[in-house]
Formats: sequence, C-alpha cells, structure tokens
Amino acid sequence: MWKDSWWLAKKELSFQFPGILLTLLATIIIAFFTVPQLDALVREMYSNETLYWNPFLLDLIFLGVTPSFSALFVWGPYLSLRTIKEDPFGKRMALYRSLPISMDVLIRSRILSMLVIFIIMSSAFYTIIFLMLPDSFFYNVEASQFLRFALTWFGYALVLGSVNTYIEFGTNGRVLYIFPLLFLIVIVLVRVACSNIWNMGVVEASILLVSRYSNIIVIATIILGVLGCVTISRMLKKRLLTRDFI
Amino acid sequence: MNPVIKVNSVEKEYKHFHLGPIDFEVEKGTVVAVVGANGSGKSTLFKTLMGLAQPDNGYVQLFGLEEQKQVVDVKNRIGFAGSGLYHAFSQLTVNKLAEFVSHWYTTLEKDYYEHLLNRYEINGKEKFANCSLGTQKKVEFVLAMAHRPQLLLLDEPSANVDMLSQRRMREDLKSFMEQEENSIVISTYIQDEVKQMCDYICILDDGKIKGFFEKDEIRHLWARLWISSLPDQLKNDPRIWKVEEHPLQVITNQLPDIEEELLKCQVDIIRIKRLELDDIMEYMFIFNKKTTNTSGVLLKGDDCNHKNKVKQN
Repeated sequence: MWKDSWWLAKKELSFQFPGILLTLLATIIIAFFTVPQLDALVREMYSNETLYWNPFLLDLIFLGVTPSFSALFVWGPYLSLRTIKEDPFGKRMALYRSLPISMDVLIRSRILSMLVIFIIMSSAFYTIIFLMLPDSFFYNVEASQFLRFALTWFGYALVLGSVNTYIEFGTNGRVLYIFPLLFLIVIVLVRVACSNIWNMGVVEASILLVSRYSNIIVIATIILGVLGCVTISRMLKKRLLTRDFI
Repeated sequence: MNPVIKVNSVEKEYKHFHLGPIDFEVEKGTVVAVVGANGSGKSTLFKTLMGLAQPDNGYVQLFGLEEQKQVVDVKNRIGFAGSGLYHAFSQLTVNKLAEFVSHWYTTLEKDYYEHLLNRYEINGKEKFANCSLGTQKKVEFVLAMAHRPQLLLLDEPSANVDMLSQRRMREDLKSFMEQEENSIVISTYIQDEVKQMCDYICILDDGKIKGFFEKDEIRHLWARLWISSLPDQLKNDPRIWKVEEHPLQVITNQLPDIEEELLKCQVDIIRIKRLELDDIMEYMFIFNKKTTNTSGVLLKGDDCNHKNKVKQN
C-alpha cells in the first residue's frame, strides 16, 4: 500500500516539476527577504540597537507564509482565477476515484506528496536564512538554537500546512481561493492579540521560548505537526468518501 | 445470479435537479442504452455508478459488491469513458496518460493498447490537451477498453468522433460482447448504436426512468396504423398516443391489442408501419407521458417507480 502511495505521489510530483521549481524560487526569494528582518530583530533583542525593520512583516512571514510551503503556491491552480470554476484538484481526485485505487493509498499519497513539497520548501527556506545570516547573528543566537527555532516553526507550519491538503482535495476551487484570505485575516488578528498581550512580536516570543524551554517546545510543535497530518488524513478520508466530483 | 449492476432506490438532490428514485438491474451479457435529452440525468447516473457522486438515498452495487468498500476489486473490472476525467492531466501525452492509468490495472495489455491506438489513429506522443475533442473521446474509449474489463460504462463515447471511428467502436463493442461475462451500459444519441448493439433501452427524463424495455419488443409494439375510422371507445384510450387526420392514422404503443380491437369493431386497417426507435423516443419525449415498465413493456399513464429488471438473454 505504501509502495503504491509513494508511486502516486512521485508521479504527481514529476507532473508538477515546473511548479516545484517556481515555488522553490519564490521560497528562496522570501528567505532572502526574511534574513535582514530576522537579523535586525535579534540585534535589537540582544544588542539594544535600534534598527529599521518591520516586526509585523516578520511575523506575517512566519505565521502566514511558512504554512503555505506545503503547497505549490506559485503554480497553476493557485495563480489562475479559473480555479474557482474548474476546481483542478477536484478534477484530479475524480480521475483517481475512477481508477482502482484504494482510499488509503489515495490519502497516504496526498500526505506524502504534501510532506515532500513541505520538506523541500521549508529546508530551502531555513537553509538560505542560515547561510545568509551574518556571523554577528550567531554571536547572540547559537546555531543549535537557530535549529531549534527553525524546527519549532517547522512543526507549526506542518500543523497548518496539512490543512492545505484538505482544502485542495476535500473542498472546491472557491474555497481554495477564499481560505487563504480568511487565514490571512485570522493571522493578522492573532498577531495583533499577541503583540498586545506580550508586548512583543510572535517571532521574538518564539526565540525567547526556544531559548528558555530548549527542546520541549521543539518536540511539542513537531508532535503537533504529526498529529495535524494524522487528523487531516482522517478528515480527508471521511470527506472523500462522501464528496461528489461533479 | 448476482446482477452486474444493481441500483436500488437511488436519489440525488442538486440545487436545480433531482435524480431518482432510480431502480434497475443489469445482468451480465446484456447491453443497455441509456437515452434521454440533455440534462435528463444520464451523466449523473454514470457518475453515481462510478462512485463519483454519492447518492443521498439508496445504494449501488456492482458485481454484487459495494463500490466504496471494495473499490479496487470493483474498478478493476470496469472500463469507464466519459466526464472528461483525463483533463485533470491534459498536459501529459496520451502515452504518458496511459502509463499512469495502466499502473492501477492488473490486466492491462500493452500490445492491445497499442493495437487500439493504431486502430483509432491516435498519436500516442501528442499531448492530451492538444488532441481534438473527437480524439480525446477516442483516447477515453481506448483507455476504458485496454484493460479488458467485464463491464463498460460509456457516457457518450462517440460524441464528436468521426464516422469511421464510430463504426470501429461499434465493431469493438460487438466483439467485446462476444465474451459472455461482459456487459455494457452506454449513453448515446446515435440511433445506429442503439439499434445495432443494445438489448435494452432505458429512457431517462428529468432525472427519472420513464421506461426500461427490450429493444425488439418495443419495435414490435409501436406502430402507425392507417385506418378507415376510429371507434369512440378508442378515442381517449391511453394506448393511442396520437391521432392524425387526412388520411386517418393512429400511433399506438400496444399494436396487437389495438389491432384486435379495431378488427372487432370492424374497422379496416389499411396499412401498418412499425416505428423506428428514434420516432418512438421522440414521441415519448415530446408527449412527456408517464410511462412504466411492466415486463419490459412501456405503458402510458402509469407511475414509473417500479423495479426495472433486465433479464439475461
């Protein structure tokens, strides 16, 4: 069963290879954009320097953009308004449902496909940041601490990123378009609430949390990420068994 | 013996359309044509059979199995063409598409697939998206046939297809039916396909089965009669579908009975002409009369929610 799931995931990824490249390119650009913001945050936190940077933008990247690394967000369905009407993910699933493919194989292939894309994009994002950050950054934040920071956000993004799989294949083209807008509104509200409660940005809070609680926070978010995948795969299975493909 | 298809009280509600309740069974070795106007529910019925649309009520069984529970076993034995499913991967070439599809079938023969490609003059290296509508239909047909299924579900397989390929499709379907185990359910507007291949005709109208009958029987029962006069007792008879003057003619769906009654009334029957299938269907749709199936016979003025069972020839 896993063999067939992997075969299907691999085939689908190969069909979307240009989309993977484009999304990877966009991810690298976002990473380049994130580096000065993150560096400025840390310098302000630990060196009491006052620099021009935008804490809201940095939070928005980590809270809102990193979960989208689970999807090929610079690829056909996400860029075309025709998606609303044509529902390309639904069409793909309709073809799969017409073939002798078990539901378990289908669900596992969705999760595998999502994980491969997510791991590629997230690895590229954090590797570029790691490589591009100046040495001065690592005087304040050790490399191991940065790794824990990245893994914490990786776990967070996995929880929300797995929802993308459900949105793509469990809903229709209209929801695929509306969901990111709703998600953005929620993220902005969460960001405003956090900065009012803690009087600091979410990324800043996460750096402090990682430094204080070390591995616990990393393990907790990774476990949450895995649980998110399991929950979404169950929800998607239930949905696909009752969904119409018309 | 288990029927190949068993549809039991299936209903499906949409915003502007209601399918069902639909009941019918198809036993192996038979070919059933599903005919009906645009929007009558043919494609929805096919999607329900394929598990692509879930019924609100009732259930569908294929080969005595529930599609949802034994999807691999059931789908391995079905060839489905229709609904433009391959548009999901229209960027692939026909051969790549076939390679993708063939992975899931245990019985797909590459030689047979290539034979069909040549037969229908399909360029396997052409992108599916670049194929004409007719060629896309032919690709769907080839991929439905290539794994040698036991049941073909064909939703307008020959729409937009050239005449020569249509003829070849009919030939291939005929040889497909030489295997006793095999069955076909086909929706079509092409009368020749119905006439040449089908054993039974299922008429769908506005989401409901208006008739399910044996093809030869209906042709035996429907006729136009030129008569000398029309007795009063037959003027509002439900078996008389239409009366035309100059010269006096009646159209009936119960020829033997009407013929007998006319003779009893000493009415001269000048001429009898059996109706062609397309004429019969036209009358059914135009007059939109309620029809039902009782032992494979269409009657006018009855309710139609009976079980329609196709008996094996």
